Amino acid sequence: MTVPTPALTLDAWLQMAVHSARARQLPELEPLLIGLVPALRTVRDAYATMPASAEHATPTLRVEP
Amino acid sequence: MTTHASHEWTVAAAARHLAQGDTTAEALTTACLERIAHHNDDVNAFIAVMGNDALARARALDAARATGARLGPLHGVPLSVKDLFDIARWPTTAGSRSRRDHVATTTAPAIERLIEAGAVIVGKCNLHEFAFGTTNEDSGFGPSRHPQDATRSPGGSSGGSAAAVVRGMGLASIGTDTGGSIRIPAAICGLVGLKPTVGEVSTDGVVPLSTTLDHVGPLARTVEDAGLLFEILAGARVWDEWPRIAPRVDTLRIGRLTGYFTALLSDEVRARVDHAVDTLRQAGAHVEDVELPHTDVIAPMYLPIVFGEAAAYHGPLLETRGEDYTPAVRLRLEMSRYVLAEDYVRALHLRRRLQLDVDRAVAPLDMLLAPTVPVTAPRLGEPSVDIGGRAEPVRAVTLRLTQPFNLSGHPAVTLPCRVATGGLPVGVQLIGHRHGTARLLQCARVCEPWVTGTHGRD
Repeated sequence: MTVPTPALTLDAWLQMAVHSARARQLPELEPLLIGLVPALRTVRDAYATMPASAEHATPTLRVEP
Repeated sequence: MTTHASHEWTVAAAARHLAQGDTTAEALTTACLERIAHHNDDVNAFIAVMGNDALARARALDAARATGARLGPLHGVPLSVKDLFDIARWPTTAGSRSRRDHVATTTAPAIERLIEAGAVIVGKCNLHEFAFGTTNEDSGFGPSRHPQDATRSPGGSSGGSAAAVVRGMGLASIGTDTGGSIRIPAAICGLVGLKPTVGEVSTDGVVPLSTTLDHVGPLARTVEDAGLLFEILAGARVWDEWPRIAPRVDTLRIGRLTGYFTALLSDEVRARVDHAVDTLRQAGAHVEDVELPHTDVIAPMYLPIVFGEAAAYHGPLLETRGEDYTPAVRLRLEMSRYVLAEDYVRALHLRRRLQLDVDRAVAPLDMLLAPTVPVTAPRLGEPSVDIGGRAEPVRAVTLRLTQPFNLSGHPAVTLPCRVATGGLPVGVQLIGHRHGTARLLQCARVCEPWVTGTHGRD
């Protein structure tokens, strides 16, 4: 029987990042990482609901002449 | 003929006086160096003063002029540059003790262009460490201070540049702008600040913060000066046929950005910007309200992009010199290292949508208009500012109205609004069409006397 892979949700990302920060002797990062979650959630939600469009499909960084 | 002292001259006036033989490069440079000697302790604008190099260069330029040679339009004009640009044989500290051993071997192409045009570089200006902040409080060389009130921030990250220009320690300065770092200090200190279209001015030889958001541009006293410097930095033509090509103010079509852009403003900023709009209308300009969609995503999308790109550069240095960063900047850079690539790429897609949104908003108009910074100069050491009885974080508030156009790449120039005597400066931002920086400057120059309240004066 296959065990489902846990999702890499933002909560899981936060746990991973906080664990790493503590291991690196940077516990003061924790409130900053917590503070970043709402912004990342907004980005993920906006991306998920963005209409499929050729205009947005290529986030080009090319500088146009 | 102007009655201003030479350190108060515009770049254009200085170039004219130099050409007419009214003054010399050595006299102008000496005046600026004396201003630095007398005023730098007040504002801490400079990390390095290049006194001997600058005087030697000025004398050489005067000798060349005596033989009839003229390098270019800046021949003998003293300028300063943010200490984020490489200048050969000088350290590029980026405002950080972590780079105290660095010495540049070459000069950044943008600065090389100014030198080729005859500029005299008098020194390298203080900044928020690695340009990663908007107040200049976190500098390895101490905070820069506001030129009108030493208890306040000059804005940032190019805060030393702004303070230097206001105090006459160089007639203009060259800064960088990743989320507003030219326009924020220019607005907060009462100057003109230009962020060109993304990619128009080389960022080679500039310590990066965010390689896709970084822009190079001038802080100056007037739109004319900003345009003169942009012409040289970008190899562009702005004033070639001026005033023949000047638009009439009563033909301008301006979109005043509302919604997100007016939702969070101090009473002082709202009043000054409304007054500027009213004045432009009285002058005959057509001003209509415009609202951008998707503004709720602007600040959130900015973070993964600037964090991801900053982490790519700083990761190795944090490993070896982390203790030499200022604590606040070090922590935010360490946090940046945890941003996932998938969130970075999502933000890039959202950024492209914003770019198209701004394209559509400005398409039927000459330019958009918005306040530059929602508040006047914040007090040093205070992490929040009061707006309408609510404490708002200084960093987020100061970036709020400028970062959209770093993300979208559109050119934007801030002009000082007319402010009561003794009041703190307020800026109004004009945003042009992508790759239309020259036209934006031409329109801004026509608006300048109305916005600054100098219309009708000589």
